[in-house]
Amino acid sequence: MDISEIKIGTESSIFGPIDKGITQIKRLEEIGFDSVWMADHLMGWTPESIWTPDLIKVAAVQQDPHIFHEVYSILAVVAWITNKILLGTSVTETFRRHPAVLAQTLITQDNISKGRVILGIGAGEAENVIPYGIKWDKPVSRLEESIRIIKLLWESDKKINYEGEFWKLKDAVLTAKPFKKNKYPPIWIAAHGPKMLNLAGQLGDGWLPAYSDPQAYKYRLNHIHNAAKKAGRDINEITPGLYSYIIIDEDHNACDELIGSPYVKNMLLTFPNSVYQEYGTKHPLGEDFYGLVDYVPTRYDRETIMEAINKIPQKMCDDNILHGTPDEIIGRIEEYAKVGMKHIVLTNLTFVNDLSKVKSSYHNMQKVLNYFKDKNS
Amino acid sequence: MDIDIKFGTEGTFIPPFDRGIETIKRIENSGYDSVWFADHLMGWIPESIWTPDLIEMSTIQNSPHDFYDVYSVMSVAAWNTKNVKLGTSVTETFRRHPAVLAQTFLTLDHISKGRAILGIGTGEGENVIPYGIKWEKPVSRLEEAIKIIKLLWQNEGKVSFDGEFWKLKNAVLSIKPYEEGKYPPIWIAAHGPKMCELTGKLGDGWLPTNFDPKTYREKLDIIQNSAKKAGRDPEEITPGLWHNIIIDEDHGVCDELLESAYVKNYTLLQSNEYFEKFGISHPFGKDFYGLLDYIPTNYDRETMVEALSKIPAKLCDESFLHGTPDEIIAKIEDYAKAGLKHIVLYNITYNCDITKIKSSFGCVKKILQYFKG
Repeated sequence: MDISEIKIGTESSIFGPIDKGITQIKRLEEIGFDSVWMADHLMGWTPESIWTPDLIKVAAVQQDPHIFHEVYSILAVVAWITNKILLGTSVTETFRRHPAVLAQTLITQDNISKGRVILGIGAGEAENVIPYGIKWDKPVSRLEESIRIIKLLWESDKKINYEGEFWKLKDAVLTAKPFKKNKYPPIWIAAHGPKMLNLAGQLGDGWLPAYSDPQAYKYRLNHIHNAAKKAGRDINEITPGLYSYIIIDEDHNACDELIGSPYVKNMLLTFPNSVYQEYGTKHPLGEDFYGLVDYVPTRYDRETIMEAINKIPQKMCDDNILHGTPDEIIGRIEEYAKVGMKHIVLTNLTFVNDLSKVKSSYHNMQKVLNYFKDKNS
Repeated sequence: MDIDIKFGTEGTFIPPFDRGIETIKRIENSGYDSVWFADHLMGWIPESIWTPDLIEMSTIQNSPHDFYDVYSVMSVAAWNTKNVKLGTSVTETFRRHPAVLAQTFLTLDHISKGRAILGIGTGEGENVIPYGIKWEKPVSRLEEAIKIIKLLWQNEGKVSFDGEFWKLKNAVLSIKPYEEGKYPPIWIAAHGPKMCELTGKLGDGWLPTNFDPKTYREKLDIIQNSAKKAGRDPEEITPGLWHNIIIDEDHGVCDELLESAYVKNYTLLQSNEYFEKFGISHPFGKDFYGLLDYIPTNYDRETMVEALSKIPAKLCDESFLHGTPDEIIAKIEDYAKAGLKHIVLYNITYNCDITKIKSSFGCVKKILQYFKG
């Protein structure tokens, strides 16, 4: 394990005034984060039915859990005002936008950022698709076809044809070029199940899962490497990333308290039934529930959700959410590094149930960042 | 006559990006009220004729299809400006779901602090069909899309909508506009009767291209009557107009430039009905309506050269606003008499002759000075 290579990124979606949010991101670059990521959402993961200050403290300052800016408009400005930090979506999809739109957007932002954007993409989440009247159909096959189309549009100098299942292209063009000749934005795939892991191995430049304990991470990465080798690719071409929620405090007990909060537990409703089975139970919303893909928070009233989150095993929260003191977090990240992880994206949830922890939690995250940066130099 | 007209111009730029943003800042400093950005994957000129002997622009631009993503451009343009309005000319809902447009324009509204205009149309075949998206019932689709956008904007909480194209259930868009209750104006690119009716019912502005003043007044009447029928104040709808212009101190120079392949190719965007007024059919067929049907990548050089050769000089003369600064000023005054309040001028003089870049912009400056003092 070579921890001098570990890169640390963070999520920084903007909810409040844009000027302030952009300034904060510039600060993240100055502090030395390697990457900043933004969510591509119309709807959030927390039902508005539990978004009340008595259950979720941050509801006192953010009126609504579904406040999201359009991700690419914000990323364009972030690209403009930053110089070094990498920029990615966590993650986008091709139900709401045609793949040609994504291809064009990424090349544009590659130009603006002078080569610093990452196309973070997944198969999609029902909550951003189904309520809006878009048909949810074969998401994995759709993603594979989208990536092929994006690459074809990027890499062709002339018009192209493509006989796909979802899109049949004829005389299509996308002639804008990347900032550096032949150097296209890396495509990082959010993959968890076997078909998606195969796809990451065949077509991905990076892997960005939303959850995996170290054991599961090792297993999944191995699966990706096998798929890569079968496709004749060098496994080192694929950056093993990890998107992780983090609760960080000098006092471990404070972390334990925060992990039990409804906001955090609700996030675990996005996990599939298979993970619940490992803890001897089933997904509170049903045995066939695959969270990320099925969970549409606006459908559920307060009582139903509170009942559901009370069924979530505490150990499942402990194992799947990075939490603890800076040293403990560092230790956990090193565990992931031992099984191959190279780029972790930390999404700070510490303050959602204790607003007094905003400053300290970011300060503690910086300690973690500095530890790995020192190893880098 | 005391004329109060707002002026806009085209802001779409090619690589490099930094230079394009500098241009936008200059446009703002020149005193324009608005700047507009094209939403294209494909341009209007076939690459098969993109050669120096036919199109001079090819010596400085790699491909006729070099387009940046419009919303990335607008965001950064908004970030770098303070007063000028920023609009799309025009977007559609084949490539992006209306909820994405709704969200995008509220975000732009925040970045620009209230200066974004949602310019929208039915869409053009060239940005839809070659990419494998089904082209179907564009007018009905647009009407439904606008209703969904407004519903998502104006509703606190969950939204349901039983549409023909999209059925929404438990949908949300919680982000609010920059200023409470003040949403980005929706300007519709309407030409035919159904689209004009739609503009009267749902539009905050009208952004057609290339009508003569008489036709402009006729269409504006349709829009204003439709507004009244819907219980709206017709004055709520800004009458805009988009015009490509060829401008020079010497009218003869304009006439020469009208013969260029660049100009002739542009006329292919017209309908067969328009061509029939000049005694010929549209070179691509009697049922051709260029704006919707023209897919430039479909045509090889030979076919193009032949098609362009059929286009009568008189048609070019009538379909392009051209002339000396005084002549164009007089034309704009005619439009003002017909109800125009916001004109967007796209100076294509140098697209036909690169040496004319400085002089033509100098001429445009005179127009601005005349109306704005």
